[in-house]
Amino acid sequence: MSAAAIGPSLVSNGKEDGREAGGEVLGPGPVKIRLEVDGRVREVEVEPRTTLSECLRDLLGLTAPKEACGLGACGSCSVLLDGKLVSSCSVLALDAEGGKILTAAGLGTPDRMHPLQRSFVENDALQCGFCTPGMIVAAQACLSRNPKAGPEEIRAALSGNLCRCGTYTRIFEAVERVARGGR
Amino acid sequence: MKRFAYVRVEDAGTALSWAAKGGRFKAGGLDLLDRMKRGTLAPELLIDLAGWKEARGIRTTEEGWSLGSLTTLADLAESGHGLPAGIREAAENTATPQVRNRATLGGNLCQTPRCWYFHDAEISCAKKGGAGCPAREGRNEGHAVLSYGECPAVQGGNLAPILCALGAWALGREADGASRRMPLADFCKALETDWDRAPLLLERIEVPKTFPGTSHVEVRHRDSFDWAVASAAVAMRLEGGRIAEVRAWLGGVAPGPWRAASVEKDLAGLDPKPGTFRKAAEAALREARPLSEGAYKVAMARHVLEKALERAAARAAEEGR
Repeated sequence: MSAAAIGPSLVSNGKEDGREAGGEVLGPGPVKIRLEVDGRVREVEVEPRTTLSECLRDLLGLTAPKEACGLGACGSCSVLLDGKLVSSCSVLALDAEGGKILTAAGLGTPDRMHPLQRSFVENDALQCGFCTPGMIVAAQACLSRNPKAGPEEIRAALSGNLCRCGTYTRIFEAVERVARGGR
Repeated sequence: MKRFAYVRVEDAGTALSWAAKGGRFKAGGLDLLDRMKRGTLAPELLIDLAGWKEARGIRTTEEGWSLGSLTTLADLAESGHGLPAGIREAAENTATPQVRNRATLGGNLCQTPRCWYFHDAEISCAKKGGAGCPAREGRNEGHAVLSYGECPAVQGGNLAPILCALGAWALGREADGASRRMPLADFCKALETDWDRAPLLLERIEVPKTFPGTSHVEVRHRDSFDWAVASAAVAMRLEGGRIAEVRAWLGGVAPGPWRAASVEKDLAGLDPKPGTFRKAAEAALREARPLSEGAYKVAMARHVLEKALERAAARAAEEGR
């Protein structure tokens, strides 16, 4: 993580004009960062170019967020970062340093499912299931803001998540049932 | 993405000294990472601005509002602070919840245009150091229909038209660190020449509260994660039930936000009734020169302009009551 690692053009100039530009230069090689993912503190070495989704999936082996478009357009890699819904492919791992990340896997377990997870199962709200973890965290972001969100609000909250199988009706129904206090 | 180094800064001076050594500013990073992933941009160093406190937050001032350039679009859409309705509408209609939670006001103003040729690393064009414009003879349904030069690419940021209509000012730093204040419209105009060379490192946007009636109306091909085919932003003030002052700016139809200047004089002093707005909107688009696939955009722009005028007039009347 020394400044010398970033290449001669940037750093030697800084030294030549006799002043450090200030701020700690990280990378381009490995940088150790700490994140809290699904309630567990993790230390991991990333490069500055490592996205949060690559960090979670490839380096930490946490495969709930799925990467499909890789350009922030489909929502399948959605996680909550400090409570906010983000596409983890569009966030650098370094930007999430010190943050709290929640993936769909952190919401519940097969034995103790979160109401949203149980509702997706009981309402058959998936076909291939690739979009499901993203849908679930987007729904969680919605219901944590308004536990009684109505159909319009739920649709708006899930508008950044695509389902290629077109299971939207059942997905909305699964979330609406949780919002209505039922299953 | 190619490898790069990363530096976190907490003040403009440090940010600018790294920029002088070839670093690129990063705010939310949506447009920047998109370009880096597509291979059209490969900076050696990113300067992360997230820790720059002076550029954060929304403040209410005596004259209006001061918006930090690092304010997210979600905060603009939901913050309260009595922000003009047109600003909230422009922010909440942008992209997706995921994008709005990361994308910043400054980034929305400085993002590169939605030209599929520009964003394709394999295709050469004048804006990427090549020659000519493949859109002119190629697919141009998303391109400009008004006041474009050699490059008809459209900067798609949603916030610029309403902020220009409100007469907003851009505050920021020049390369040598000097503070400078300029009309946001001039800032946007300068960006059209070179999207990678903003005239200022944006710190805050100041919005005067001159206009009680504001609106932002847009049409998109799809409702989510899309840029406007055409958008219209209007700021209006009534006196004695008549239009005292109106500003109308369009988005999605010109290389940058486009001032519909004819509307200002056509509507001055008139009774704000619906038929009036249709005529003014038609007149405003008379000078449109669409490329081969762009005619539909002219119709869309007329439509959103008329709706935005109606909505701003209704809000101005409501405020006056």
